[in-house]
Amino acid sequence: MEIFGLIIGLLFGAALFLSGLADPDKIIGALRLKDLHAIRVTLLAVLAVIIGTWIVSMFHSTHPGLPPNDVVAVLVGGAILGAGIGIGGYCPATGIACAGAGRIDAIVAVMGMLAGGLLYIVMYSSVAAPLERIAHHNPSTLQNATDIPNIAWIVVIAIAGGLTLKALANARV
Amino acid sequence: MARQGASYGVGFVRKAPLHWAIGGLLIAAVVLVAECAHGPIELSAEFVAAGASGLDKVSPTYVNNHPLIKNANARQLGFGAWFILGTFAGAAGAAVATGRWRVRHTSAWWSSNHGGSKLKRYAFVFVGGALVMIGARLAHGCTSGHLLSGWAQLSAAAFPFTFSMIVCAMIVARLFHPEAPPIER
Repeated sequence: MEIFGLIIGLLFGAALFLSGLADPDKIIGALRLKDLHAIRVTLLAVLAVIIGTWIVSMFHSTHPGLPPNDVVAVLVGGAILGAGIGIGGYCPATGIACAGAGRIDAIVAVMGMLAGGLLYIVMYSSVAAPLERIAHHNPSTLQNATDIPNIAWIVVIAIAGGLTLKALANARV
Repeated sequence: MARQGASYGVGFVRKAPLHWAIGGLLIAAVVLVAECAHGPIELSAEFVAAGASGLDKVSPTYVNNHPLIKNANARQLGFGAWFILGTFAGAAGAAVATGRWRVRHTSAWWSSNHGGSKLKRYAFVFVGGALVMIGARLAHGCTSGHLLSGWAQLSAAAFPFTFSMIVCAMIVARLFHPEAPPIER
C-alpha cells in the first residue's frame, strides 16, 4: 500500500505541475480574476471526477471517506484556509509540489503547515472541539442531506459547471 | 504578453506547461485511480500525524491525555506520507523534464506588490502555511480532500467549504496582491 501511495503521489505531483496548479502565481492570478487558467483546470477536474466517480461506481466499488459535515467548523476552517492561500498561494498539495519544483518559499510554507498542525493539536480542546459541536452533522452526501437523488445533483452540477466552463474558455484572461 | 503594470516586479507569470483542458483531465484521472484503489485523497491529516508523532517523542504524557492524538492511529504515518513524498518527487520530475526546475524564493505576484525581500516572503508564506493547515483540520479536509475527493463523492460538506474558502481567499488575495505582474498569455 505504501508503494501505491508513492506511485499515486508521483502521478499527482506531476499532474499538478504540468497543469499549472503547482504555481502560486497561477493561484493568486485566479483569485484576482486576472488569469483564469487555474479556475479552468480546477473546474474541469472537479466536473470530470464527479462524472467519472458516478460512472466508475456503476462497475466498481470505490472507497468512500466522507468528512463530517460540522457546518460551522467547515465554514470557519474553509475561511481560514482561504486566507492562508490568499497570502501565499499555497495549499498543502500545491505547496509540496512547488517545493519539489525548486521553490524555497514553498518549503517555508510547508514548514508553516507543520507548525499549523502542531498549533491545531494544542488548540483542539479549547477551540476546534467546541466548534465541531455547533451544528454537528454526521458525514453525508448531498442526497442524504437534501433528499434529492445524487443523479439529479450530478445533472445540475454538470450543466451549470459545463456552461461556466464554456464561458471561462472564451474569456480573454 | 499582457502587461498590467507592476511597480517593482522581478518577473512575470509563465504559461502553464499544458493546456488547461489536458491538465484538468489529467488531475481527474489520477484522483479517480486513487479513489478506486485506495480512497479519497487527503493530505492535511498527515501533517497533524507528523506533529503528533513528534510530540509523542517529546512529551508522551501530553499525547496520551490528548483527546485528538491519544489513539496510536492518529500518530501513524502511512499511505498519506508516501503520497506526499510521491507528490514532491512527481512535481520535481515533471519540472526537470520540462526544463522548468529552478530555485526560486518568491513569486511574480508577491514581488510585484511587496518587493524582492526573501525574508519578508518567507515570513508571510510561513504564516499563510500555518493558517492553511489550521483551517484544513478545522474543516476536516484541505483543497484536495474537499474540492476534489469531496465533490467527487457529492459530500454535503464540500459546498460550504468551497464557498467560504473561495470568498475568503479572493478577499485576502485582493488585499495582499492589488497589483498584477505581467502575465504570459
